[in-house]
Amino acid sequence: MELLLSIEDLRVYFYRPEGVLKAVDGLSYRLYKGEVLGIVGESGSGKSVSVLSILRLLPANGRIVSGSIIFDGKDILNLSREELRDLRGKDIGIVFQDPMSSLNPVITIGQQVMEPLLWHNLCSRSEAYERAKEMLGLVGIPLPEERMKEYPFQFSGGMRQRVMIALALICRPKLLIADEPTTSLDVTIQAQIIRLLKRMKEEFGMSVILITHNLALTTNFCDRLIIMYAGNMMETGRTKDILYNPSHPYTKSLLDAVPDIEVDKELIPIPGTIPNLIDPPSGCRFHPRCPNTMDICKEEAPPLFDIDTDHYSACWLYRRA
Amino acid sequence: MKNDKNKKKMGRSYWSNIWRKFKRNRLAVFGLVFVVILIFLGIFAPWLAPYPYDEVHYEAVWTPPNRQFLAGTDQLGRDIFSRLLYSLRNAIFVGLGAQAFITFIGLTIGLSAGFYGGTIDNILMRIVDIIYSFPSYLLNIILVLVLGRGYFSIFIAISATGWAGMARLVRGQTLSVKSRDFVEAARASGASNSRIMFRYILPNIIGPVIYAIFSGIPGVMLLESGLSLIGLGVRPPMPSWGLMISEATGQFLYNPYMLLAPAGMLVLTLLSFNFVAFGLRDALSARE
Amino acid sequence: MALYIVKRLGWIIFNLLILSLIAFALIKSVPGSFLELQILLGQAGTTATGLTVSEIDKIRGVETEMMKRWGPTVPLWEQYVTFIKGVVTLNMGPSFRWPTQTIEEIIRKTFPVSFTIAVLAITIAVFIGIPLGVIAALKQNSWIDYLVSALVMIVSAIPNYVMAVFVIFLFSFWIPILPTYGWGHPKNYILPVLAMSFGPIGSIAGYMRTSLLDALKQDYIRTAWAKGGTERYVIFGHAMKNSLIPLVTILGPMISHLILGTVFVEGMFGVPGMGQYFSQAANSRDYPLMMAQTVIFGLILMVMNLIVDIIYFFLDPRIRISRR
Repeated sequence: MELLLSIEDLRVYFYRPEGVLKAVDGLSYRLYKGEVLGIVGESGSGKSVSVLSILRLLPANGRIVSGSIIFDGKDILNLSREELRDLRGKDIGIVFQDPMSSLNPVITIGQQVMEPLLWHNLCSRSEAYERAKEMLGLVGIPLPEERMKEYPFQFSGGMRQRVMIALALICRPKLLIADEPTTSLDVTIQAQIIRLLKRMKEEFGMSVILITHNLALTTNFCDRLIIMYAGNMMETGRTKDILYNPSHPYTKSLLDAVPDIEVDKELIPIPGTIPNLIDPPSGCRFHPRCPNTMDICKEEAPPLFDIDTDHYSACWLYRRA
Repeated sequence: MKNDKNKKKMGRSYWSNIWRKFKRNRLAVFGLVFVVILIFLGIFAPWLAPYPYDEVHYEAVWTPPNRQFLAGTDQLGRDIFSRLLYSLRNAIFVGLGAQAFITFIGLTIGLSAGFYGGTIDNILMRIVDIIYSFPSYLLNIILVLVLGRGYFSIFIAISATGWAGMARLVRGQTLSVKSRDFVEAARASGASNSRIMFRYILPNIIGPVIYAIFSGIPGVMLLESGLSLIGLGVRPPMPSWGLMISEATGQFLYNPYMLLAPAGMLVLTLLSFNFVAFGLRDALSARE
Repeated sequence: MALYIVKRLGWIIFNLLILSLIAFALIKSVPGSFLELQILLGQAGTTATGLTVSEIDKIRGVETEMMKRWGPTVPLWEQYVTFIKGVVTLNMGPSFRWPTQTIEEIIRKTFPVSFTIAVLAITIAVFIGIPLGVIAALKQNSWIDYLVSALVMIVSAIPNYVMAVFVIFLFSFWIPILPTYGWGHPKNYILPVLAMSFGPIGSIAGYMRTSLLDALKQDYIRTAWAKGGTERYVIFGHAMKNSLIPLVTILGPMISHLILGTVFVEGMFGVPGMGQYFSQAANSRDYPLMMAQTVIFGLILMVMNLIVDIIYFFLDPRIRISRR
């Protein structure tokens, strides 16, 4: 398979009055063309920050302090503003969490969907209009031509998220980033949006990064998963391997905390709270909450250990003697 | 009872938090220091002024500032420095007095409209809207004519139209607080209406109200000076910055100090109050 | 929308009626009204020297006309009806202070002057204030931002009549190129407009700065960047739209303030506008003129506010569509 995105040792720090917050601290992963990658973690685990870095859309106090991001042969961290702009919206599309606040309330839906095409000078206005109409129909908006004249407040939450997907895909990007695309939606709509993303993936064949805190959403969609905790990767592997054969204590406790309708199991909450990332725990960042803590966990951060084919876990339990 | 204690404690930390943020703003602290000094000067003007405000010195008409007359004298040889102090006293009396009156009426009407809603709200807010749409300065002028020139009339005239804005603000704030959980809880536990209004709603809207009070004071003061400027404010020889400015306009080519002194004092006073108001606004709006 | 405007116009008429009642009641209760009337009529006679024969005749007619309208034998309600009728039919009779002119003539003459000054001042304020605010917001914490913030604070503390003093000062002493007093030449407009535009410049710049900074923090601006927008597209195509709409809401009160402010400022420059005529009418107890002007000022303010609301209605789709 052909490589699309490779991230090496990414570190993103936020400079706050209280101190330096290490939101992402040494993250590396690869994404291949046509692949769907899920990044799973609790809020504050750095999963969103890691993908916002790909577009260099961090808030003003956030800095990428080290690492490299190579997208489609381009070194993102060394691109000029022009080159970066050329990438955003055209080669990489993004869908944000809250579709209400992510769409401009005083600009028509049609205009907002057409803008990526127009801003990148990809086609004429009339052609952009046709393509936007077609794309809105494709994401399941009935009567797209009429609705293009309307404003975001006239759309329901689910419909707005469909609009966001349409404008992220209108330039046929090579990569679609979906940053918690269902979190602010009703449960019934969540599945529809994931199904839509899956259909779009089949239609256009782009790579997808799905950010979520909900493991259940990844099952039928993602090829591969990354489990993140406190700015570090804990475990990575094929979705099936992780869901049915989790190796890291954190992944296991995540799965224990997911309710299952079919099996009458006991829900076990993860003890403790997410660590303060300004002054993170020493060694493995999960050790204060881990049921299997050993002495070494407190002293040294674990590297990734081989579990299986393409399945790695950052846990000292898997150290070969 | 225990609940009340907790509330009070929360209140104290709320204010100390605002005070902490306010202190960080150097301009605001600067303004506050000035405001305190100005109020002090105003209150003690009769003791601090070197001359009575109406004492005429025919031998020293239009004297530029010197050691005897710190800010010079006017066309009747009256000491401008003393007149400035008395003007300050009067401006502070009108500014604080009218604003206190405005706040009292505005709070009463705004709270009742917001709290009771329904017909009371409709009627009160209709009245507010009508007053709001009036050409307020003209009504102020007419009221001063009715009551006769002088500081007391100005005070009444300004209050008569000024309360509408405050009532509107208080009503809006009351509405937003009314539906909050702790008000519902107080209601559920059988608290009386007046108790809910004064112990639960009022403490929670007091921040914006205090900002409105402070930002309103300069407005009142400059209205007072404006009325005196066009000859419809205080009755001479009682001084007012506005009156002093109008007396000086014919003279300013020859005696610019006559104009600059009252204009400067007016601006300094208004700026001080504004700095405090801006500082309050920032301290109240900052979320952490 | 049509229904909304009709409803608002209805309220304007109602509010004007209340206003006229209050103005009438207050003015009628000013102490010494009738005495003043006699004195003023006497004055009118003495100032008549040097007038043409027809004008003297006119002044003689004025006395009887005024007695008919406002004389002590006429019941109050009849006076009020005369007053309202006069306003509606534009036949308000003669003024006390300027007995050779009727009130409607004075208003017809003074209104364009004040209105032009107010419109020029607000136009200048918009064209200077908006760019200043935008630059301050885009260069946050730069020297220009501090300059704008300082300007906002200072001009909001300086009333326009003090600004007028400074402007007159400046142009009399240091750069005596413009007339500081008088009327008749277009140049005479410059200083009053200048003095009146400072305050609005400050408030517009300050408001624009805050509202643009606020807009730039919104999620939809992040979306616009993510779509590959340049500064021009993101700031002028998106953020500016969102921050200009609320600006319209502060324009209404600002215009009201500006028009009313003419009462204090026009006299200082010798501008023959509504404001100066009102303050002179008040000083010489010209009650018919004051009543008429109060109602006219009220009408102007209410219509201005209605216009601003209509503009807002068309600018903000959320209001436009939900009210349709």
